[in-house]
Amino acid sequence: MKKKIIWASVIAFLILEILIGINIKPDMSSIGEARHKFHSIAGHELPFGGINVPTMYVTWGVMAFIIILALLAMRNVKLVPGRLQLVFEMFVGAFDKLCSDTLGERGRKFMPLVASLFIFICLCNWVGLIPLGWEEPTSDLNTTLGLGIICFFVSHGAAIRYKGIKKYILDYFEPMIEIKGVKIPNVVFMPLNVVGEIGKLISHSFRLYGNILGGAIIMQVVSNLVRYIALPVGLNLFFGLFVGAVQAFVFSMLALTYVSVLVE
Amino acid sequence: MVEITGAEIIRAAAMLGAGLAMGFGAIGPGVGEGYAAGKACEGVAREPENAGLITRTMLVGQAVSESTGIYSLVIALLLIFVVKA
Amino acid sequence: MNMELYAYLGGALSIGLGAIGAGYGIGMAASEATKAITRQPNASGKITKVMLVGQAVTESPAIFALLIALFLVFKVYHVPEQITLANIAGLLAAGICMGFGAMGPGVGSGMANASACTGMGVQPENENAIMRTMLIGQAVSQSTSVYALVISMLLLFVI
Repeated sequence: MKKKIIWASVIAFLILEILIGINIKPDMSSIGEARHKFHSIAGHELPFGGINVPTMYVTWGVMAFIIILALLAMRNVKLVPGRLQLVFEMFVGAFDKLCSDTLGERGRKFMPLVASLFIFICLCNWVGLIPLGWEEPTSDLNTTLGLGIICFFVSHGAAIRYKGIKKYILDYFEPMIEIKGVKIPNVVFMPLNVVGEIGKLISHSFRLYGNILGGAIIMQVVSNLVRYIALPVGLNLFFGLFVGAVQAFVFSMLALTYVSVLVE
Repeated sequence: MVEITGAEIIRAAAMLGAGLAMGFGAIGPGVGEGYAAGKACEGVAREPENAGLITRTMLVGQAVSESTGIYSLVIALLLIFVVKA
Repeated sequence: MNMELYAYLGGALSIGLGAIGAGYGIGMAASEATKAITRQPNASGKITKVMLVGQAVTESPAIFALLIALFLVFKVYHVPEQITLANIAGLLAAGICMGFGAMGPGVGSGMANASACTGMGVQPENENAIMRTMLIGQAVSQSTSVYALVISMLLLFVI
């Protein structure tokens, strides 16, 4: 009896959707122009015409959400944790273990950065699930490039701090030429090593950007083609929830890995 | 109609060349780095206590095998931004 | 010069060539996962989880290719006022670049995913270490496809 009611309501909902959907005209002309704002770096009108205001609103919203959630979790900390405190403890513990597995004891210093990168990017990727037409901040190149630059400076700063400035600079001249046991810095490979470091930054930030933007545009196009009937739910589950979480994890893991490669 | 001059043809050829350079240059490093990653996964499965060492070796190897991809990137950027009609 | 012709041609080349590598890679991972489950039927849940997460990362070169193909197809709505020969060549080159650029990383990430599934079949209790190594390796091996994406976007929008 209950099953019959559920199926009947699902079918009625689908029929309603189809009736509404037939009247919606697919509009594809906005695709390919709306979401890429970075053409302003090509040399024109950069300074303040280049700032993407909706991205900033959503970013500040996500940050406020995280801060409020953390304050709520830490309001009355008990030895026997409540529900919210338990979730936060598990999260922090998992990332603590991850960092100390990768980098040893000093890796725990990077835990706050890695964990907050993960939670921020994950929530930013899930913003697209809210049916208010907000764009994910991570589908804007400015956000991902900013996060990538943070990771870039953190990893190089950590390398200078733990290895010393001399060894850090000498590492750019790898692989060294060895003549009679004396190592001579290899000048030819220096520019390539520098380009390689910048390439890491580019691939780190564009990977997140491309994945999230690709998912968002695919959802937009397919939803337009099927006139918003039934299929967008599955697409949102895959591209929004699953790919969003996996890419956030990949981003934070890569940040940790770049630190570990440079520090060792 | 587009007026086609010699300089235009050079610029267009540079664009095509950039695409070809990065496109074909990405095939080899992609497969090679994936091979390294696969072997590292098998190694970690066998000896999980050496996971840190294996991962670091994998990353160094991948960085070296990615250098050809970076050469392609440099050449493509040079073709796009330096070759002016 | 007909701009639409080259935009559509570039889009078809991009997604057509770009789907080859990721498709092959995902198939490899699935076959290895099947073998691993045959060996360790008790760990089928863990093996399937590793396979699915790996496949979601493996197909990101194909998603880049689809992104560029959609940009190219919808480029005809935004024709610039002054079309040069370089613009038109850029459209075709963007498609070729992303198409071939997605092939290698797709196969490579699939290889990493397949080996991770094999490893899971040997020792399913090492799930966390294997998954972490697989994700890092796949992410690094996809960086060349990200470079191809950057070059394609430069060819499409900046020129």
